[in-house]
Amino acid sequence: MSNPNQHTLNELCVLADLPVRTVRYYVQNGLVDKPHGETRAARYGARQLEQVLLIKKWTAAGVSLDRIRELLHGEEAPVPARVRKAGSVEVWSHLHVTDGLEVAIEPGRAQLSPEQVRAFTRGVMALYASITDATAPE
Amino acid sequence: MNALRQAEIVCDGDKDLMLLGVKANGAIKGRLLAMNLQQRFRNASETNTEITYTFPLPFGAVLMGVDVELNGKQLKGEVTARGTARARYEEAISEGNSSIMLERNADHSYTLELGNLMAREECSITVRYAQVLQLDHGQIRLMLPTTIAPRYGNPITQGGLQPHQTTVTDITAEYPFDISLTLYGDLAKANVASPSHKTGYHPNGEELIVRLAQRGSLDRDFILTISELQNQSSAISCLDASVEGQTALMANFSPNFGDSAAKPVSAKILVDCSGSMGGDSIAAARSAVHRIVVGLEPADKFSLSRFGSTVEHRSRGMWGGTAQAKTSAKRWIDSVDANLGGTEMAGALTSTIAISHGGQSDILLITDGEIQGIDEVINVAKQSGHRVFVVAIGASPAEAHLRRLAAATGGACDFVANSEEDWEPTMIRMFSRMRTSRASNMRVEWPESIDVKWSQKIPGFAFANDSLNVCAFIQSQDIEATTGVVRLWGCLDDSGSEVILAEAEVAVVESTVNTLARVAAYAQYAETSQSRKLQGISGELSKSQELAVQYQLVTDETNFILVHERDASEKALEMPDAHKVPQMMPAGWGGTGSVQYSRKQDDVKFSIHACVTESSVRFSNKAAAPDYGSMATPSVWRTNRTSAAAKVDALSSGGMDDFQIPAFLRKQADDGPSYGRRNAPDDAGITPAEFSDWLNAHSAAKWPMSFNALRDLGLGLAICEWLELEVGQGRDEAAVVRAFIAVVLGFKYSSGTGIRKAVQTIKGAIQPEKQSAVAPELTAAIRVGLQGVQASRWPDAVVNFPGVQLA
Repeated sequence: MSNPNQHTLNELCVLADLPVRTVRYYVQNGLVDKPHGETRAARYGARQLEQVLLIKKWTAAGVSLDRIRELLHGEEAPVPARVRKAGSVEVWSHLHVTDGLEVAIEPGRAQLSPEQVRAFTRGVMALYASITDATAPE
Repeated sequence: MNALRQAEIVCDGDKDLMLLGVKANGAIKGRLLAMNLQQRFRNASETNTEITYTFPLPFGAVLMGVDVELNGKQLKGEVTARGTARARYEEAISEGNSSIMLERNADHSYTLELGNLMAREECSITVRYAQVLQLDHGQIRLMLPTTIAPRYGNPITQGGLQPHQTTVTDITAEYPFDISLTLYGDLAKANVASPSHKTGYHPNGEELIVRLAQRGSLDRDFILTISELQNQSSAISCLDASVEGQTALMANFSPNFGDSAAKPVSAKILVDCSGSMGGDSIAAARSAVHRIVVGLEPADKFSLSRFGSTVEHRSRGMWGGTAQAKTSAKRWIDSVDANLGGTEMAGALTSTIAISHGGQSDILLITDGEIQGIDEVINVAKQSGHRVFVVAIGASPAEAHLRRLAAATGGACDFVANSEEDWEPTMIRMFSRMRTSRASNMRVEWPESIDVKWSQKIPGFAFANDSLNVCAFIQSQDIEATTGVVRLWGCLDDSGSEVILAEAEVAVVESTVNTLARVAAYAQYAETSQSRKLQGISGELSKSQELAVQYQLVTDETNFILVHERDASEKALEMPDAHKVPQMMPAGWGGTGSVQYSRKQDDVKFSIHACVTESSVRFSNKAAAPDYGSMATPSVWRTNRTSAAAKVDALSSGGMDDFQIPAFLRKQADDGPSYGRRNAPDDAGITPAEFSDWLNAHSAAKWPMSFNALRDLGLGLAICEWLELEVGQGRDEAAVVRAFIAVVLGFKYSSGTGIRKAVQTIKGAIQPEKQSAVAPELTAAIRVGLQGVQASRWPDAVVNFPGVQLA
């Protein structure tokens, strides 16, 4: 075990006790680092083995692969939205597209300029018009 | 906690879709459907790609073969043991060759892996399957599932899927779908309709061709109903091309029990109110429960429950099928919504099973079945001894899950599409199964001239007019010698003697593709594999696997595999990029649009680019202005605040301030007891003492005059319904409420002490209550009903209304 990059995909799978297809899926989806070398010459090292074992443990605990990817890449848990202070006033504009269809906009929180809100509104109205024109009953 | 994803929906609109579309082409002869499902793929990226596509097939479909066309060239593959196929596939990928594998998943879906499809290459895969169609109550319902809806639960730990087999749903994905079916023989002359799609019917001599009349997409199951068929048993035999001197035989029995007496039903109705049932599905569920309730008779018993992340029972026990109970049930179902979050079906079943019922009870489950952990649910249901009857709802319900659940418990499963307007036949079938006797201890009597090598085990039970299929292999050199009459014998539930349930004359048929023998072989495989699992036997190459390879059947132990060796210059140099084909969102899933409208409209076409041109913009400033005028406040939002405001009004209108009441007492009076409306169906609400306190603290002018006002005051649903449906039948509502108040006040209960009593005394002195006249017979009736009442609780008979005690 002197060379850290010495395992073939099959050997890596034997070491981790996982099917080849599963490990390959992890590599393809960026959960496990890509190997060194092309096709048959591809070799995996200790780091990849460590990653595979970690994923195996977390998957068994019911953690989703997307969450595992975030954890492996050291992403922080998303910061929960700041709790709005009681008594604070927030104005939401309701863009009434048609009966039963409304878009609620708070430009401050959406970080939109008045020009952008205007363009958005135009786009939404035009889109609604275009899909209903095409689907109008005969 | 977002580490546990329950169901994933993504919106990845700008990604190129690699599935170009699916085309189905099928033929139905007798009870056998032969279907070709062509899926076309194109690698839209610039690199070599591995496309994985997980798709559903109908429950009971037998995969006959896979035809592959890569860049216009026909390729041939084979079915081998799963381990071998996987090794060959991985070997091909690592060598830079192309390979195609088809695997059956633990949840009965299939995953196609298309490894190393080079940039811009196209591939067409045709999956061929056969299916024995069920003739139930004179109707065949053909279903072709097209998409897998997001399911609740962990697909890997609960669903038993491998990571690459899991599905994602993309709300923007859209794949064209087309179907053409040819019906032969008596089917071509039957009543044919599609509740799911607009279809055209083209007679062609003795055949009938069914085609889509508008563009379809993979967002809803294709359903074709063929009805008004004779409930006739049939049997066919055909030489087996795989084994010399062997003939396959299949009998489709339609058991007839004669006129057996209808039995009372004891049903625990359980409605799925998880998020995925939103929109069309919950509306369909309401409609289903309405029809169920209408069909109940006084001797029947039923309970009502709904579930999501939690379970909520409307009744503590079983209600009788009385008019009062039915009215109460209809009201309840009208008020339910798909607002209970997840789908904890096993927990809900356990809780529903625990409802005391006395004797035998069935569970009537109304759901879309979109969960991963169905095995746990099946175990819970099996152990309870309850039969589970399932009404499956939605544009794409989890058919395999629900059929397995029903079959494992001795119940039955029926499907209703969201867009289906004609519910009656489904409900009539369901009730007929629950009411009539079942046949059990069945056996098949084969013609004496036949030497049976193997015959399929018969299920433990059968319902009248539901078809029952039995396959067999017989030893015979001469096909003509395999004729005779096949009989199905069995005992009815209520009698011990054996009777003939159905019989059919064997007809000899010919087949070029050996369909019948392979369908029979699949049945034999399933039986052998099942018994191996039960006995815990495992081996390198099991007998069942050998059988599957011999008949080239894709099963739990065998995969289809094809390796296409490329020239050295064409080989891929790197591991392929992964592309998982996202599923289309089932139409109307979780309230995303309504299929009612899509049936009335033509294809929706729009271009995002065309939308932003100034010329096509229609926009008025007025439309953007918020309009709160139409916002009605639902009754469930009524809070104490509104009643407090009402009290302020009452003070001014009642002229209270005209009297010189000490300030501290007045404040107490204003703050008198206040209770909110109780929405939990089994909440008994405020006690008799609390109710008396409220009445005493308020002037008679503010006393409730209606059943609804009583509920707003905090009285439980059961008490209000008892007043309305039991006491108030045919009487004036206000008079009943007045009489009820008079009776309760007569008990002179009070939970308050000291200051409150002082208020009452003072109030009594300054403003004598005006007692309106109440009918003595009405008060007498209420007193009888309230027998056993205590200051702290209403009598059981009222709290449990409309319970069996009153039935």
